[in-house]
Amino acid sequence: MSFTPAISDADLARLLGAASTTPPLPAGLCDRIMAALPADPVPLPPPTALRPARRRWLRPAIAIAASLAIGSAVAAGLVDVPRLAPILAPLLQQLGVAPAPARRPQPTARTAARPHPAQPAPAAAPPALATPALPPPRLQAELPAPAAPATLPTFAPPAPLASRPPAAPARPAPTAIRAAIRAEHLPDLPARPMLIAPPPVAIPPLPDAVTTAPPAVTAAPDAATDAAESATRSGPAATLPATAAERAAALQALRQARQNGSLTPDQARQLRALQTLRAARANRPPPATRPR
Amino acid sequence: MTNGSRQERARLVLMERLDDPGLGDDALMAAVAAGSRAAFARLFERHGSAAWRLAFRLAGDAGDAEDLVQEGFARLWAQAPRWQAGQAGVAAFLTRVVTNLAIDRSRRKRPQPMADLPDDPDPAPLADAVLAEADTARRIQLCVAALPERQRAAIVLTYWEGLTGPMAAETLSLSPKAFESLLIRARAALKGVMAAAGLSAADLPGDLA
Repeated sequence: MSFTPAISDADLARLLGAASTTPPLPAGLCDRIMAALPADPVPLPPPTALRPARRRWLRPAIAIAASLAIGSAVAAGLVDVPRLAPILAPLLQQLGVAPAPARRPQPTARTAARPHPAQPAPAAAPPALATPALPPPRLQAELPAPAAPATLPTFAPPAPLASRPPAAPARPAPTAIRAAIRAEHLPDLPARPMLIAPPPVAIPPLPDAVTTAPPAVTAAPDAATDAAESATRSGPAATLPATAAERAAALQALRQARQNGSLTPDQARQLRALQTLRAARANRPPPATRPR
Repeated sequence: MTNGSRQERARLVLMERLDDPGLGDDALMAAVAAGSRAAFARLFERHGSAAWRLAFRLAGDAGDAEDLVQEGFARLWAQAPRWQAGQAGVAAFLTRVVTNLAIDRSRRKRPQPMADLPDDPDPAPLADAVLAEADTARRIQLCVAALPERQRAAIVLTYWEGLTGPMAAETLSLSPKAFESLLIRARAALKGVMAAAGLSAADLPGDLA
């Protein structure tokens, strides 16, 4: 339920104007107030002395010190520059600033103009190197000696960076390790690099699914398998069975012999060859391009 | 001549001129800052009545109004050493101080707990009887006193003290817009209270209605 007052703004002003009367000021109020006041108004605090003048020299001194520090740091970094070195080095010595860690000058076009003192030639090749030192070529021996070798600019070899770790000794490739193991344990088995890293198989063009009869999956030519078979048959284990059934029977028989402990070295090599052949067949790429 | 002797001479000159009716409030405040009670009495003569009227309208009670006036003039006395001529006058200072004191006092008022009530019945007539017997002015003042403190201050400053909107807003430390909104709410509330009390323009005397 909403209540709407029936008094307008003008009526309100008239009503308030009629009620503006107030009682007169009580008598003696001034005296009572004066009696309650303190004796004197709260005095202002005494004027304090002005702040002592600021130390006007402080900021310039800080600025000078900071610029000196920055400048000496920059100079210590630039002392390696050959042109600035004769200027900066005595200055830094006067200031007592240690130069930056010495860096060997890099051979640049500017440094080539100023000859460095001749560096001794590097020592002969270490004896650990297997390659014998080649005799000097005849042409070089026949050349006349340089007129003034001391004046030629020579560059010091760049120092190795401290942050770079020394190069690790060259490790033999895994294929080389496998080849060495194979040569040690199976000296008669020929190397089969195709089994480890088969070359990319050339995908033949797609045959026409309608006109071309689909070849048998089991008889599908496979480059990796063929290569493995040829590699296997080319060695002493060339007496492997030709058909898959014969190979499976032979593999079963060889396994049985291995379990019985009657496996001869020839049989072991044959078993190994059969296993390798089977692994090669298992790893051949899927016949995705063959129509089924 | 030292600073102390110069101030004393200025104080003596002010004392001699206190009887001058044309002496301004700033000069009187300077004399008060020098410790002149006569100058303070002159200031009370000039602004005491207005301060009393405002205090009574805000407080609605003579005793409270007297306290408000006393506190306001005490602050004026304490402010004298820091008084700066050319700023808001003494009247504006007293209006602001008394208004804020009244608002603070009204906020501090708490309902009287039952344990503190007197055992004997109050011999004063009941409120209904007071309202019935009081004249229209008293009833209107009671309606104003029933408003919240800030709305009451807005009504008093605008309708009874005759301050403009910006002046009243400055007294209450409000922006003009905020004071305008406050005044609208105060008007609506006062109309409702008056209507509830049975007041209307018909209750005014013939020459005012």
